[in-house]
Amino acid sequence: MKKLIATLIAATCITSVQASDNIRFGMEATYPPFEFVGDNNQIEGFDVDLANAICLELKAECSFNNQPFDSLIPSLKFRRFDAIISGMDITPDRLKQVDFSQPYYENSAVFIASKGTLSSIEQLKGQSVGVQNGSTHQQYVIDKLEANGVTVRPYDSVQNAFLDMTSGRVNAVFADTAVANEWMTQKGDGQYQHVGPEIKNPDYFGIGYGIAVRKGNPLKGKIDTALNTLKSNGTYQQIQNKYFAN
Amino acid sequence: MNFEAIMDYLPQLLRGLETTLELTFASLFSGLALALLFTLILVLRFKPLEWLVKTQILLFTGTPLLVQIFLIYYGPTQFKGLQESFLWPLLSEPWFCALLALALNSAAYSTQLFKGAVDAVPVGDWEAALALGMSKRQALTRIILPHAIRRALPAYGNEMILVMKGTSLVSTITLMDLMGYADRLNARTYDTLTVFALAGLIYLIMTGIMTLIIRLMEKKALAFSQ
Repeated sequence: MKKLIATLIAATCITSVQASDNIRFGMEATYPPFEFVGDNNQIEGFDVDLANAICLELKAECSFNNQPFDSLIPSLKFRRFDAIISGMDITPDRLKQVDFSQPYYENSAVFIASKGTLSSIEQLKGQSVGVQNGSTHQQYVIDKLEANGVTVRPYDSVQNAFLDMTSGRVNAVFADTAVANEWMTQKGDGQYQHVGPEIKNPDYFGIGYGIAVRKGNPLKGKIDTALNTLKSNGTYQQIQNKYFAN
Repeated sequence: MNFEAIMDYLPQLLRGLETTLELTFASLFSGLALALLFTLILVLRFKPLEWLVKTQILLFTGTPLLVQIFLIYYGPTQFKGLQESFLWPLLSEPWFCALLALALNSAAYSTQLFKGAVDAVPVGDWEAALALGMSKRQALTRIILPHAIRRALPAYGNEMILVMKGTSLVSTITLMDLMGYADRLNARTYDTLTVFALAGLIYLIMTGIMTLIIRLMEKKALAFSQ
């Protein structure tokens, strides 16, 4: 019996050592070009390449969990994974829940709609806008536009919001500029355009995308160091060029 | 979990109650009307219609409600023809899609309940009614169905509660019901435990009230047998 217990304890120690070398990332993989499920059923994208580069730098194993965006922060807190890399803006609200690495991508948000329907943000009055549930875009539209008679329609994935825009169920979609542009080139067929200017509001959209870790986790420091190295040795630029060539 | 947070969340969650209740009662009424029609078709054995009803029951009791909601909501967007048809103004509304899915689902289960109750009415009742000179239709509408529906009431009460709980799935097609507001609140505050515990509590209270109403109805409807 004693031997059995000793073995069990030894086994747990070994697995916990191994676990620290394995960084489990959470993401919501319907967000091209940042993370999406590719043709061969593998999760790929800008965030995935960056996470893999970070793991290489830290000599750790990377694994990825795909789950709904609004459950990422709760799951991180419940220790389902160690970090979130999912096009997540560093915002004051989220900083109350988790720690973020330094920003790794500077972004903005934009409304898109079918060509010839809307030309300014003011015209959204009385219209419906699709957003991803749990996103900063949802927060922004609820706070700034809902009182002006804009109906906010929350979707589990921003792709479903785009889909409903093509069938006319929502008049516009509010999303990250890079993601909206990617969708317009891939699926938009030249029928869609930006409505109004790109929006950069640090109160809502923060200071860019960050990698989230649990509060006080030393992993934050390691990731920051790795990001510095990747930015200075050109790896970051390579990944950037791969996805945002022009 | 603290009191202040609860007081802050509660009014926001209750904003969704209206949609939940509207949807519950609208789909219960349309489901009930359909179920009565379907039961008649099954009992009177109208041949081609009978097969249709049986197929409908097979499809809607054999697949999950969530799948039905997704199919009805996202399915029509795949067909250009349907988007130009007169049905599109209805199908483009998430509210109507949710109603359609819930009503058809409830109709399928209720039909099975009612058909079972009709079958459970003793053959003697049929024979007595016919012997008294009633036509088959008269016997059905005056003797058999009222008797059967009273017998089906307790089981139908369960179905009503299932439909009410089923409405929590409609937030997946962007409707802002109680669950929709809970999702939104959770996404905003990350206070998962409090938000969903509160939402669960509201559902529980509604179920409790519905159960009480159903008990009263049962008491009235089954008074003759006590």
